[in-house]
Amino acid sequence: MIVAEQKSLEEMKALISDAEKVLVLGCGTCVTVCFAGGEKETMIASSSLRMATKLDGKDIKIEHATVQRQCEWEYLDQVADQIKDADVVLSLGCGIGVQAIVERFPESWVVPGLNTTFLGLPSEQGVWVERCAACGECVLDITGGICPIARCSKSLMNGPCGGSEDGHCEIDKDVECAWQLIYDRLAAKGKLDSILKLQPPKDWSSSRDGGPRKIVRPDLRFINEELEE
Amino acid sequence: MDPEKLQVVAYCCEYCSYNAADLAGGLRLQYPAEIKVVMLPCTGKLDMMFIMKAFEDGADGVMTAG
Repeated sequence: MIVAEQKSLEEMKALISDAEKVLVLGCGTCVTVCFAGGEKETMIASSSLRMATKLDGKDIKIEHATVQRQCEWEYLDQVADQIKDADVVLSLGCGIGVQAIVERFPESWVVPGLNTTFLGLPSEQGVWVERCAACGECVLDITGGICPIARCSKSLMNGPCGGSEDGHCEIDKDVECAWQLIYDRLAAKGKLDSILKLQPPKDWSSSRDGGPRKIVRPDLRFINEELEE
Repeated sequence: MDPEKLQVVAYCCEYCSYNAADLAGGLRLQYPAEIKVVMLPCTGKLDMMFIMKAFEDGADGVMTAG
């Protein structure tokens, strides 16, 4: 899932300070399950902002709504009237949600109420950890299902480095060394030969180094669009 | 602020504290009119939004009993 954190109430107040009508818009997918911008968080943020702005002597009308997914226009269209009616839309979706609203409703002013942080999973109640860097060329087959790109601080393809000590990374004793984890797992599975082969430098052009990425699936496109091309 | 004028919303469990408040009424015991009792089927039903709504609507305090 995409993991995000809510900005502070002070930051959110500053983002809507010039508005008279605000829509706080939540998202029912990733940020719901990381408790950052789901229906409940949206209601609470909206209520908190109403009280905080009132205490500041401001008369800002603050409404809230939550859509199933902010990153798909068909869901945004369900709240089109509310989006268009607001001076400012405070999105409690991830950065994709904010941009989806801007692209669908270019006349609207949209600000982020969350800091989108990483792709990860909940490792225990209330704890989320990074697991994928979306590098565009998955190597988990070589490393036994443990990602050296997202979990090694240096994203090494041939690890561990000299900073690995007692299974922990030199940047922080609480950070596990990804290559120690990889070694231990492959050893346990009898597959150490998987990492004996030297890996060539990774082609980062499939990652962010290649610029913004795009996937086109001709099999999923509408036939008339194909004919137009 | 006059403490006797403070508005307090009390969310009470149907099976214990609400019954106690009901009994207090039956016994004609007086308690401040500023306390507004709201019955919940269980205090486990208490939602963050109930508390926010109470404050937003002007409550000075919220109590829950169950």
